[in-house]
Amino acid sequence: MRELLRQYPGLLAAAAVVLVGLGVIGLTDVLRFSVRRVLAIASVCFRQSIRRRVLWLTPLVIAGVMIVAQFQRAVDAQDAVRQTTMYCLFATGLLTVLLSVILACTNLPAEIENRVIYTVATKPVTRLEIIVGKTAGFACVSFWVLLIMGAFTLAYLHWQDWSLRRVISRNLETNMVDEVSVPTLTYYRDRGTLHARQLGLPERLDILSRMPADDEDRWVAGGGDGEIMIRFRIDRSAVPPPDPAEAEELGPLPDGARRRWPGGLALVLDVEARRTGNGNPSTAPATAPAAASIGIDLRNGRLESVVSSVALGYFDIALPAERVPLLLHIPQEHLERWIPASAGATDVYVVVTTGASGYEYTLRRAGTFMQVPGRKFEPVDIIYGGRLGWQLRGGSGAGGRLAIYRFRGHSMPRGAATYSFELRSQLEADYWETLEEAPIMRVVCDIRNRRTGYVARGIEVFPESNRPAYFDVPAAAVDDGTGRADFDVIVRMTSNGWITLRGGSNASLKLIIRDQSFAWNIFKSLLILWLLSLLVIVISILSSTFLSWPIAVVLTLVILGGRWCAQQLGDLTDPGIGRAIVNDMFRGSTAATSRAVSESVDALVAALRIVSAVLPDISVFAAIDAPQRGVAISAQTMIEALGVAAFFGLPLLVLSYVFLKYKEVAP
Amino acid sequence: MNSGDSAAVRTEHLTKVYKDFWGRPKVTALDDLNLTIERGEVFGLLGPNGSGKSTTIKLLLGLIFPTSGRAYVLGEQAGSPRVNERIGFLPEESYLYRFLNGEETLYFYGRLFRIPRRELNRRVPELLDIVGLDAKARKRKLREYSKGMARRIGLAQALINNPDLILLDEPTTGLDPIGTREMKDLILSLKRQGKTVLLCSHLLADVQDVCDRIIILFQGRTQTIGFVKDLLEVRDITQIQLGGATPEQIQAVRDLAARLGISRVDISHPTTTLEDLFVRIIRKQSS
Repeated sequence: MRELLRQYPGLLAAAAVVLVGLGVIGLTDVLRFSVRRVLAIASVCFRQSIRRRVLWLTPLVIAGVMIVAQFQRAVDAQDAVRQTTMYCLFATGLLTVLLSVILACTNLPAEIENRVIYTVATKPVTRLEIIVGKTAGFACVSFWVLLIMGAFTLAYLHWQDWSLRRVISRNLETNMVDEVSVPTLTYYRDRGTLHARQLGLPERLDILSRMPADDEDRWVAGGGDGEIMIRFRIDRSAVPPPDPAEAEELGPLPDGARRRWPGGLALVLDVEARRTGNGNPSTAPATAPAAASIGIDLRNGRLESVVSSVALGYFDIALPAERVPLLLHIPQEHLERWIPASAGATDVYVVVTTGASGYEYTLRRAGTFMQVPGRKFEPVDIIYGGRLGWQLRGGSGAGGRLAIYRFRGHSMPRGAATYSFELRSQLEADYWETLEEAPIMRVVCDIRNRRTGYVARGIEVFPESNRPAYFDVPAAAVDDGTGRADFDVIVRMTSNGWITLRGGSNASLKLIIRDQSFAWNIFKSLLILWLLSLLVIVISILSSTFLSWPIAVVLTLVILGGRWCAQQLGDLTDPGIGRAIVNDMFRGSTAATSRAVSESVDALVAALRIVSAVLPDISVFAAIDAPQRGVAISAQTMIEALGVAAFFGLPLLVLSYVFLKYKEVAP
Repeated sequence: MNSGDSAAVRTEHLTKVYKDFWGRPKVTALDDLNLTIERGEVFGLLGPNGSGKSTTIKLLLGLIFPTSGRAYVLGEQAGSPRVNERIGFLPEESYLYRFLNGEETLYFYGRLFRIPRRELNRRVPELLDIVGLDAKARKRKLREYSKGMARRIGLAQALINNPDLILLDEPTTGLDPIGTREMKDLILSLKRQGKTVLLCSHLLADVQDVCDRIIILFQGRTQTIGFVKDLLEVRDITQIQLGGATPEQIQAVRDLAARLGISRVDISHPTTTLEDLFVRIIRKQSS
C-alpha cells in the first residue's frame, strides 16, 4: 500500500475523495439519485443558456474567423489550409472554454442571489442531482457550440481546399510553377490539402561522417559539424554529498588512480578520433591541422545547456594508437545546476562537440559512464548528430556525410503499391552564397529494407524551406511482408549548402502510414475540446459553490492555467534557484541575509511546484496541433485527455457536491 | 421522531444564530423555538420584520441549518429530500426561472417530483385553471408576468405535487383584493382537503380570516401561541346581534340592560370589511 501510495499519490487521493464523498457523506443521496431529475435540471440550464442567446455568439466567432483568414500570409496551399484549421479550432476552443467558465461560474451564485434555488432545493432534489444536472446542462451547451463550430470548420475548410486545388490544377496545366514545386503541388492536387495522416516517426536519427559498417560503427564529422549526445539517467539520491572530512574512495577509474571523492560526479568518455582528409573548407586552419579535440556541454532534460564547454574546457583527443579514455571531474557547483538536489531519477545529457576538422570522431559506449562512490551510471542512449541540431552538409567538402533515419516497428497497412514520405526541413546556403543565389537544393534518399535486403536507391528529392516535400517509394523498400517496419532511410545532400534535419517527436522525415478521414479527425479534435469543457465546467461549478462569481471565474482560470504557467517558468522552478538568486543579486550580503533569501525563494518555489503538480495539465487536451499539421489525432491523445478529464473532473464534481450539501443556500 | 408522529411540524429548542466571516455570532435570528403544528390545521406565523418568521421557514425547508435544536416535518428530519416529496412551498416572492413560461415552469417542477408525464399533462392545466392563469398567460415567459400573475404561478408550483404540508410565505403579497380573497378561499379549501398549511404573513386580517392557530414571534423568541379565536376573544364583553330590530325594540333592550345593572351598553349597526365590499362590487360588475 505504501508503495502504491508513493507511485500514484494523485490517483489514490482522487479515489479517496470520490469514495468518501459518495460512499460515506453522500450515500443516501447516491441511493436516491434520479436520472429524470438530473435531466430536468440539465434541461433548464440548457434552455436558460439558449434563451440567453448564447449560441448567437457562434456566428460572430465564425465571422471573426473568416475575416482573420483573409489576412493570412500562407507559404502555399497546404499552409493556408493549416492556418485556417488553426484559426477555426482555436476560436472554437476559446469560445467553448470561455462560455463554459462564464455560464458555470455565474449560474449557482446567481440562483442563490435571486433565490431561485429556494424553489429547487425545497423539492425532493438532492444536492448531488443539482450538481450533476447543472454539469450536464452546460456540457450540452458546449456540445452544441462545438457542433455548430465543427460544422462550420468542416464546410469552410472543404471549400478552401476545393478552391485551392482548382488554382493548383490550373497552374500545373499551364506550367506556371517552378520545377522544384511540381511534385509537391501534384501531391496537393491529387490528394488534397486536408489530411489526417497517421505518420510513422523514425526511432532515431544519426548524422554521420560516412556510411557505417554496422550499428556500432558511427563516426561524426569534425570541425564543429559533429555532435554526440549521451543520455544518462541520474538519481541524485544515489550521489553522495561532498564531505571532504569523510571523503569516500571513488574506486577504480580508467587512469588507474584511486582517489578520495570531493563531491560532484566523475565523467569518463571513451572518445576516439581519426584523420579523414575531408577538412571543412570553411573552418579548416590555414596552417598545420590542429590536434583532434572535443568540447563538452552539460544539458538538462529539456536539452538546454546548463554548463557550457566554455566552463568545462576543451580536451585534446589522442589518436587511436595511444588512446586513453578521457576522465573529467564535474564539480559540485556544476552538479547542483545540472541535476537539482531534490530531483528524482532525471534524464540529463552530456554533449560532445567535435573540435578540429580533418578528423572524424566516435564514442565507444562500453568505456563511457559516470561514477560516484559505490555507483556507476551507464549511458541510456547515444545519438550521433550534427552541430546545432542535426545539420547535414553537402558540397565537395562534405565527404561521405549522410543522415540515417531508422524506422522500426510501425504497423504497416497491407496491399499498398507505394508508400509516401514527408520531408520537412530548413535549408541554408553555403558560406559563399545567399539562399536566393544558391542552386536548387537536392538530396538523394536510399531506402534499405533490413529484413529483405532490398534497397530503393537514388530517390531524388528537392526539399524546400517552410513547406514539405513528398516522395513515394516502392512498397518493397519498406514492407517486408511481416506488417512491421524495419528499414533505414539514408539521406545524402547532393548540392552545396546545409539541410537541417530533426529527429525525435518532431522528426523531419515521416512515413505516411495511412490517411484517415479529415472529418473524423476534426470530430476527435472537437471531442477533446468537449472533454476540456467538461473539466472547465466542473472546476467552475466547484469554485462557484463557495465564491462569488467574479472570484470563481478568476479561481477557475488559475486552476486551469496554473500548471501551464508554472511550466513556462522553466528553470525558475528548479530546486536550488534560491542559491542562484543569492549569487546573482545578493553577492555582498551577509550570510544570514543570503540564507534567508535563498531559503525563502526555495520555499516559495517548492510551494509553487506542489501546487502546480496537483493542478490539471491542460496541455493533454491537444486538439489543435495535430489537425493543424495534418496528422491524425492518436488514440493515446484521446485517452490522455479522457484520463485527465476523469481524473480531475470526477473528484472535483464530488467535492462540489459535498460543498453544496453543507452550504446554506439562503443568503 | 418517525413518520407515525401526528404532528405536521415539530421543533425542539430550535435556534439559529447567524455568524460573521470569522465564525463569531452576529445575530440570533431564532431563539429556542418549541412549536408543534398538528396535521390538518392552518397555522399562522406572525411577527414584525426580523422576528424570525422567514428563518423558521428556511429551517423547516432545509435551506439553512440550525445552530442548535431540531426540526421535524411530517415525521422526518427537516430538509431531507424524502420529506420534500410531500411539501409545497410558496416563497415570499416568486423565485422562479424567468425565462420559462408558465406551463414549462410547472412541467419542470413536476419532473423534479418524478410525476409521470401523463399525470403531469392532466395536472398542469388543472392547476393553471385553479390559480386563474388563462391560456395566453400560460405561454408567456415569467419575466413578462405581473406581480400577481407571478404569485399565482408560484402557488401552482407549490401545489404541483399535491402536498400534505404547504408553507406559504406572504401568500397575498402583490395580489389584488380579488386575488387575496381567492387565495384565502384556496387555503380554506386545502384545509378542507385535510392539508396542513403554515402561513407566514404581515397582513394580520388575512391570518385572522384563515388561521386556526397562530404564533407571534419577536426578536426570534416566542411571544404567544394559541387558537386565533381564543387569543382574540374579549372575555368581559358580550356581543348580541339583532336582526331587523325596530328603534323601539332596541330601546327596550337598552332599558333591560339598565335594569339588570349593566353599565356599558353599545348598540350600533355592524360594518362589513372593505375587502368584502370591494369583492362584492367587482364580482357584481364582472357578472
